[in-house]
Amino acid sequence: MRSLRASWGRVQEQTWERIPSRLRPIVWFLIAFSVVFINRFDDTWMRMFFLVGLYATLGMGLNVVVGMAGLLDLGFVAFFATGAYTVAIFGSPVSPHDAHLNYWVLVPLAIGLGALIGVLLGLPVLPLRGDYLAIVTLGFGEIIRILALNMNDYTRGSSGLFEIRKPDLGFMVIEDVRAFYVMILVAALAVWFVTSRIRDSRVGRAWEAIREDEDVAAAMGINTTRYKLMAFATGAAVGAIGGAIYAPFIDFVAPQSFSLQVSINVLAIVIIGGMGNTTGVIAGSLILIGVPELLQFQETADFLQKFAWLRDVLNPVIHGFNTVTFLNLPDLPQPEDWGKKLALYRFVVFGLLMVIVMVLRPMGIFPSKRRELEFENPPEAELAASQGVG
Amino acid sequence: MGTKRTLLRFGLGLAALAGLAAIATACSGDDSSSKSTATGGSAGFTAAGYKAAGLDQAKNVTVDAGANIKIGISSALSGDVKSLGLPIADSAAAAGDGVTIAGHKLEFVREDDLCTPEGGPAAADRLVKAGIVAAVGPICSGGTRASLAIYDKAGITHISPSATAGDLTTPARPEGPYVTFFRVPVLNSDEANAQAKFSIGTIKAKKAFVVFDTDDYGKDLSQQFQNFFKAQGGTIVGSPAGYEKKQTDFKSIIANIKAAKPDMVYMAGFYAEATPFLQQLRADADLKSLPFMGGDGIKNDELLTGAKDAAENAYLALPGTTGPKFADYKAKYKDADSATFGPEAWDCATIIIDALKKVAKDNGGKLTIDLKALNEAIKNTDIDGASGHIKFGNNGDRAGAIVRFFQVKSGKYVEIK
Amino acid sequence: MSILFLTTPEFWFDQIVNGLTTGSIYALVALGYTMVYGVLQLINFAHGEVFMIGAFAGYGVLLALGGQDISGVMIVVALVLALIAAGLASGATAIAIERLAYRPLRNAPRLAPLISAIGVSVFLSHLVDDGFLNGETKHYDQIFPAGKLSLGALNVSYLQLFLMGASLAMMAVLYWIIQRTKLGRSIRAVAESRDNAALMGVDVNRAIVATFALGAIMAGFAGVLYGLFFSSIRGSMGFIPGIKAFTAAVLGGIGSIPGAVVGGYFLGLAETVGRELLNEIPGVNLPNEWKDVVAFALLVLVLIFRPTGIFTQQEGKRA
Repeated sequence: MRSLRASWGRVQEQTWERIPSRLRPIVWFLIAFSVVFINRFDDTWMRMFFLVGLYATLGMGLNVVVGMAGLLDLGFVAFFATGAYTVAIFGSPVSPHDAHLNYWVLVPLAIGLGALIGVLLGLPVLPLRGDYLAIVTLGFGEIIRILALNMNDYTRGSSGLFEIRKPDLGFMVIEDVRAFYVMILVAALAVWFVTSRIRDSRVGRAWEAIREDEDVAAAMGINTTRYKLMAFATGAAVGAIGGAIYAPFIDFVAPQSFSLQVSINVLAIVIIGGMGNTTGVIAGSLILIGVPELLQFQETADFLQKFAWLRDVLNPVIHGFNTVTFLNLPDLPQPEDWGKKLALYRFVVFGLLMVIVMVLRPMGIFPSKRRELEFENPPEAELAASQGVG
Repeated sequence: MGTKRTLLRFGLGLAALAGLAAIATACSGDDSSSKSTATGGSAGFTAAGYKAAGLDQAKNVTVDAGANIKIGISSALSGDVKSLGLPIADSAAAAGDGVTIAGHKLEFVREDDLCTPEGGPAAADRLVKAGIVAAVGPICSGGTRASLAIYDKAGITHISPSATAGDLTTPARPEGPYVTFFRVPVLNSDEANAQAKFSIGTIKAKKAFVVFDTDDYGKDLSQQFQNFFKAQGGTIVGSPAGYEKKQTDFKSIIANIKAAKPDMVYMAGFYAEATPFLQQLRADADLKSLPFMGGDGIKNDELLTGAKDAAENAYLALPGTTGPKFADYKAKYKDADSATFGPEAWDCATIIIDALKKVAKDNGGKLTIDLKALNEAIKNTDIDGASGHIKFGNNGDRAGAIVRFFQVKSGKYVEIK
Repeated sequence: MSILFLTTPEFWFDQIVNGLTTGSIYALVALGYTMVYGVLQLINFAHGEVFMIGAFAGYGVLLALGGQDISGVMIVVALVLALIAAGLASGATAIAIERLAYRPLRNAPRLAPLISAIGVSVFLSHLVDDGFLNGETKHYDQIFPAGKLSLGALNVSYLQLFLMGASLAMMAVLYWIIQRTKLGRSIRAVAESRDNAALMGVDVNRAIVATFALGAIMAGFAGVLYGLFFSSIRGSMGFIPGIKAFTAAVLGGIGSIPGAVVGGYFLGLAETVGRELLNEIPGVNLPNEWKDVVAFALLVLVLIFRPTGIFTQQEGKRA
């Protein structure tokens, strides 16, 4: 087995060599989007775009863990919280431990702490098989939230931390929604670039081997625990980046923002979008985070008003049905409320989609090419290995 | 092997980062004591505050002929706090029922703030965009804190019926309190003070055991109660026991209560948890007649229907009075009696409507509203409302506080005079 | 400051009884986890929701029979009917879940059924909370006769006695089914080796469905007991007891039925008595709000040091 260092070196080499050709279209797109399109949307839209970007970033982080290395992490929110709390505890005047540190000093600290916690959590659990990891991470996500809730001397508990120092670029301070959107966009692109480079590297192939069959991977000389730990730490670091950007954006860091729901959201994005695939993650984020927000917009309500006739048509049908049966169905709500009503049921839809996607399209709606092949033609070895598996 | 060395380096890097974190923590420990005075304690609205909101000069908005005047409502319309949020939204909207100003109807635009810090600003953005002239809400402290700046930037005055966290009206910014924010609920400290007085004076309790919801509201209220109770000669026995929303198993806390032998149990939280708590407390024969005192989050009809017999004899504090206009409110909103913060929400909307009537100018069918004058009219509010007399102090808090007490008798809340 | 007065025997007795009551519920729910894991090596994440469905079915029956007004002999009838309804509803839910969400994935990669299970869990809890209840909480009526059994200063309420007794009886019946009946033999055979069992003429699908159904019936019973004792029920109520019960199953050695029961009681006691014991150490103060941390920390510690469970002496780590 060639050394890890050499493989990391290779990633680096290729990264530097490839930047111009690979990044050029993305850079152009970024500039075009920030200059031309950004000003066409108001704050409501920008807030939605920010959230989509944030969740896409988190999704890419979790994708490394779940999609690439095949480790089911149900406590991803813990790393998100670590990032947010690092920035808030050391960078907010209301914090009892304000360190008066610049935001840009806190970001690497947040990333480091995120990765460190990932390693510390992964060390004991990763030698075990995946199922235990799922439940331990689930418990750990809750522990972090309960700690944040009760360690009043650090986190101010549910009163939360606010007035967090904003990122200062020297020539401007990032404080409005638009600027934060550009920031998350840059972060997302950076994470995209780095994770996709790692995936194509030796490390990425090792993850893939572990994901497909851990025993075979170990037999081939891959130190599975070590690589799993790297995947876990990478994902954790990305989660912390998301948290570090989220904290100054929302300007209120409190335990209630770090519930299991966040972990489920991110996991759903990765699963439904397509495991192991960055494009799928972005699409998943647009569908699962963007659409429920969009449904609540004024524009949606205005648009839906065009369908008032549908209500006029269907209500008599409902009335007729009610007179025939004992069911007393309510009238359809006003068309402008349809979007909002639908948004209320988003988690019911998330859950259902996760099952349907697993059963009908286990590779996600937008699968990665590699995984698609595997799922359609599972290698013999895997079939045999999965005999004992649910 | 090279792998090992790389991993070692990886680990060392992380250790260095961790060390950095530890150093940062240690450094910050030194000056934490001197920092705490930086926030809070502002004296009231400042000229700079008005300038920041763009309300240092007239700011006219025009409502076209035949168009409605839009008033925003930011409340929890879904999620866990919906049973609190929906009646608040309905009560506020009821205040505008049938009201016209110079021939223009009122239109209430509802947005769901989910009672969360994320939901608050999102709802605020949507309301501002919808072209509202003023708003009722947000209803929760976290959501309010996160949206103060958005309303302020737009120069839109908003009145919260229920955000009670102390620091909302004393933000740490040089411009002082947000001039666009007012609120009508009685603050936690006033409620806790009255509860402590009542516990010692009427219940004759000397030793209290404290149970609290670990959220912003429960933590603050229970802390304030402990301070007032001790200051007035009472003792807190046992460690105050915290619980999280949705907890149903209170048996362990109850064993602690039994061991501490208090004269009363004080609970700061919501009815959803008070219901199983009381049921489990009263299931224990020894604690059947131990006096129980709760606050505004617990006094809800749901407690009576859920806990039934177990709720008997419980004491509950309710800030605010049933004001002279409560009958008007009840005529428009049939569930008025059970809507916690409903009268406050009705009053918020009434304050806005009254102010609109004063400042809206008919301009040949069109209506001109000066947001600065509207803000001023709201600030000078002096009315009798459904929740008692309302005037605002000099940073947007309600001046004067009345707290009433109730006891559950035969499944009903009976006011104790 | 809590150390001074918490030393009365009554206090410890109360806490032990409380621990055993919560433990009974964990044990009943843990059985479902351990059985399904034993047969399919799948963590059935939706099991907490199966438990929730049972609680609601029992609630519906009690409400239909008169709720608060049930008295006399009717209490016994109502309780039996509520338990039966809960068992049926939970069993049917679990069978449907197995058929629709797990069976199609039986030969899929390991992660797929796990994710599908999480999807079912999210779907069911939110369907009840957002779809049917609009976020409300329902409350069981307190129909069980109040009163207690006293031994000097030590008291146990009738409800707690009933709860502990009923759960023990149910577990005994389950144990008998698994050990002594043909169905039980087929389940054990499939757990041992699915292929070999199939070769020996065991209907594997039938055994798997039976495993789900039996585990779910226990969870349904637990749901009713939970409602009777703790009163509040809602769509998301299954989540925390679900994780705790899984922890209990791991503590006892996952796959082992007696292990799940012992693990359940152990976790129940650890959360209440264990936390109070820690509080007796000077300088330690773990108020009530830390109790979930105690449970999860225990889970992590056990997985690190004894991944096969604290009460087992099996070979190495489970694959």
